[in-house]
Amino acid sequence: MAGIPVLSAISGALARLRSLWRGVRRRAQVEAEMREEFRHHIELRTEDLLRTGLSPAEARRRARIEFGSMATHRDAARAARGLRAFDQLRFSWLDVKLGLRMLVKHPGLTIVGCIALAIGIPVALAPLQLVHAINAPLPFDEGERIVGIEYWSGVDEVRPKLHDFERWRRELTSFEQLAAARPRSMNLVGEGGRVQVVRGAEMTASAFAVPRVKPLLGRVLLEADEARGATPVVVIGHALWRTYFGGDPGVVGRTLQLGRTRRTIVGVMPPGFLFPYRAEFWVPLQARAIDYEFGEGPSLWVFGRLRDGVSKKRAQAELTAVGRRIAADHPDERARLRTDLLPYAYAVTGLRANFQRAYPAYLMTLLLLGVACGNVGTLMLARAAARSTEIAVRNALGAGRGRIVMQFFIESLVLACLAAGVGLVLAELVARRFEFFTRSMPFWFDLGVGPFAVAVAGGLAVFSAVIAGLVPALRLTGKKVHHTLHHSGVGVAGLRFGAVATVLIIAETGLAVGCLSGVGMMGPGAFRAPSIGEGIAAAEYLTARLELPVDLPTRGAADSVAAGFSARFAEIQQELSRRLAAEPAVRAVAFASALPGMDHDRVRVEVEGVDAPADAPGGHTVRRAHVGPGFFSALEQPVLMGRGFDSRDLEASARPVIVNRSFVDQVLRGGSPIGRHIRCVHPPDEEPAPWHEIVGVVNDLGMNIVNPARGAGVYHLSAPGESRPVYLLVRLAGDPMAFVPRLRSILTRIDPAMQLDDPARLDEVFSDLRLEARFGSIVFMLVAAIAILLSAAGLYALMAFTVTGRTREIGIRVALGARRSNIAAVVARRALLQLGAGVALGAWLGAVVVRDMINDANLATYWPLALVTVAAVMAIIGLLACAPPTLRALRIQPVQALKQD
Amino acid sequence: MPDQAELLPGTLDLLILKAVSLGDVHGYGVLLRIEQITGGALEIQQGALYPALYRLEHRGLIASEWGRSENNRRAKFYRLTAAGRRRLGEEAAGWNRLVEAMSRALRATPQEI
Repeated sequence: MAGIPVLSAISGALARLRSLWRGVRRRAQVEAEMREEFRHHIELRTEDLLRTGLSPAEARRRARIEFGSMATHRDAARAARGLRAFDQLRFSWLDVKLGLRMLVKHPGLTIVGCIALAIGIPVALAPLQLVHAINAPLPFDEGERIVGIEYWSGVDEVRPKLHDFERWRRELTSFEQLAAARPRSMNLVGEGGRVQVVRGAEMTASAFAVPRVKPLLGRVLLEADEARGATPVVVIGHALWRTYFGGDPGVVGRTLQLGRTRRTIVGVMPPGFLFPYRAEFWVPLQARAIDYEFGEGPSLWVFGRLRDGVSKKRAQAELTAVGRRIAADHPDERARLRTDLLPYAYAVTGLRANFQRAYPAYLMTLLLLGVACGNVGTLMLARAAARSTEIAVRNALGAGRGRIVMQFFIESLVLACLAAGVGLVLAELVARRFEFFTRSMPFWFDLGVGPFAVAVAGGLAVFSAVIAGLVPALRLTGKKVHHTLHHSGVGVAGLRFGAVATVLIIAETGLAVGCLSGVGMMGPGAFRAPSIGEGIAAAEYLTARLELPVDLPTRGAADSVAAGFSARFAEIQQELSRRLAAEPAVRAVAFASALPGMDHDRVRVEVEGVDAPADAPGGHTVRRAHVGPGFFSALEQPVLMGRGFDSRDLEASARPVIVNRSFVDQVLRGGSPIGRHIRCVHPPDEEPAPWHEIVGVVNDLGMNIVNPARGAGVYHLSAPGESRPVYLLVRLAGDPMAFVPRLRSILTRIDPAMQLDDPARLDEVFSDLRLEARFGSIVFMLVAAIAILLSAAGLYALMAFTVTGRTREIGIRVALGARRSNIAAVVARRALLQLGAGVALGAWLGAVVVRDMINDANLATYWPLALVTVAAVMAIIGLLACAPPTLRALRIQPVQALKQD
Repeated sequence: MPDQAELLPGTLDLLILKAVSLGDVHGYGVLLRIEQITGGALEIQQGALYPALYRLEHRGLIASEWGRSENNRRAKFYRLTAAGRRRLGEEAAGWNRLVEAMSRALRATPQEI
């Protein structure tokens, strides 16, 4: 019999759950039934009363009175079913309406809260979206079985080579297909020398079996195509087929010139197929491991399709075993590497190492959102505090705690949803501005505002509302509610501005000061608009990057291939100069490793007779470019001192250099430059670099676009073919962009393989690059701005809260003859303490963290000044935030304060 | 009106279970049946009846079903479940033990001490 109580307990619990479920899910039906039952009861009672001889009207009346209030019974019945808690937590449109009304009624909080969350939510969303995109299965048949293989050194990805791939293909049994590919961009040479650069891939034939996509026309690549000497073939993408061949159904069998090779088209892939990354054409990978030493040859993307029923874990185990055997055979190259099975996206993006490094930054974004929410919560709490009397009264009238908490939660949810919406719109705008970034992502990545983004933003909005609304509401409705009612005259006296709020205000003030001093540390130049250089008519120049695809060197031939390649590059460059000079529209031509307005390479140099700066014993950090002899004259830049380069300088054993004006000012401290020698600082285990003589000085020509104030730089002379890739600079009469087709056709006639990338006007290159380069400081400033806004709002809330809560006390003090200064001190003391603590924290943050992050000793010169300025600014903003409530406190009259009761 | 006794706390549920155990009955019928079986000595507040019924239903001691009442209207009829029958037995036994103990106590004379 011992089982019976247990059984009955279980059946009782089940019955309760069933009834609860019914009460919650089918509320309307349950209530209708209840009403019907009550009505039936009253009718029967009325009939009984009629039989005792009462008049019908009287009988009905008596029956109703005896029964009592239906509403009360109904509530009691719901309570008996345990549904009260659910009733209170029930979502109600009334709360949404109240929430919207609060948004309008308190525009300050709405704006501040909305800005904070509208930035916080997308910032927290972006990394999640990227992670989602990477781990999402590829949009192919059983795409989740497609995986990548890569070596991992512990900090970096190491791309496999042909030897690794061929051995994996021989020994691994976990894969149905294993494939290798590498990205190629090539010149597509059309009729009459019309050229466009297209992105494609060199792949093994097996790579087409991995996604299992059938060609639209013709066939995919076959293993026979991979043989050396096979007929050169190409499979083209749908977009290329439509735009280039006008969708010709008979395109298979026609030919296409890619670079120097004319290839036969054997197939067309269906629309949207850009596998493996963003390819528009596919050519066979003809390289063989046998042609290379171990570890030599091209780097590959290796990926495959797991065999049916093989788990990733098992495949990884097999991979590890094969990896050990490879490491045993080639300890020098492979012993320190781990072979990893990865999501496919990692194998083709190289994002893994970035992810690992950026991981703390991602945590920071969530933390930032948390801080923003916490602060919005503080503001909500301050606003709610003013309503504590209302809450107490409602509570006394029967509104349960759950009901009130729910109302606050919905109010903050309304705000958070609004902010999430604004945030998504912002994110979309930013994504459009940085479209070049999205276009360089793998083809199946969806980083726009889609269902996933909306769902996650919604989740983050709820997360924000929980922090910003639920926590303050729980505190407000705690056990002190009745107490508040007793003291309704003093309003919020029963409630205290919590320690959490204090910590938040201090943290934000600190963050603002820290970030701003980080920006300020870059020096006054960080706020000066950088320029390309005085007197350069940037809109008249066409720029483009020239690149020649490298032939794959085979075993033992690496040196001769490299030498031949340089010679070929130089030939093309010289021929191009000659032909351009003959064009009537061309006014000047020059080549350089970097152009004014691009962020130039950094290099450390030492100067003969000038000591290294005390804070940078490794030498002076300056910017560097390699330019052809005609560079300065093409830009119409005068040589300010000394002489320009001339072509005889190319023959000198140590070629001379030219420095810019900032170099003279900052490195030589105004000393005479001409005739002095400088050299690059090499690591101690390398041979020292040769000395170069400074022969001239030119103006600053936009070498450092982040901070032009530190644009000290040096120009080396370089001969054609020495810098690769190289930037071409052409000055034109008329619209530079109109010359691009002509330039392409000239170049194609010289060598169809030579690629012309990113043609643009010089001023446009500059504005795009500047935006990119300044991204870091923009983020810093943005974070600082949010932090300032939030801390000012927080201080304001604290002060307003204090004044409201202490109105009576202040009134009494005034009545007793307190001086205005005393009152201001009483009110503002806490806010000022927090402000002070925040500024101190920010100074520390700036000193230790930000300085470390920027890690450039030259930067530190401006730092104390920046910090003091920022701290002062922050203090002023804080005081301004404190001012209105303090003034309100000073205006409080004793009578007014006492009338509050 | 005959003399009416106060309803002891906790006894309403027992009374309802007993009333329902005598045959399926609707809400008003429960009221009438209790009056009947107590000989009118106990009057149930109409307001207390329904919360008690719902509580018992919530616990799975009684179950309800819609049917036709004597005046041919739709009415909700309650019946005892197996768990309810078990509970009625336990509670009745407990009540009898209490009553026996109480009456023995009240019959006590000084000689018995």
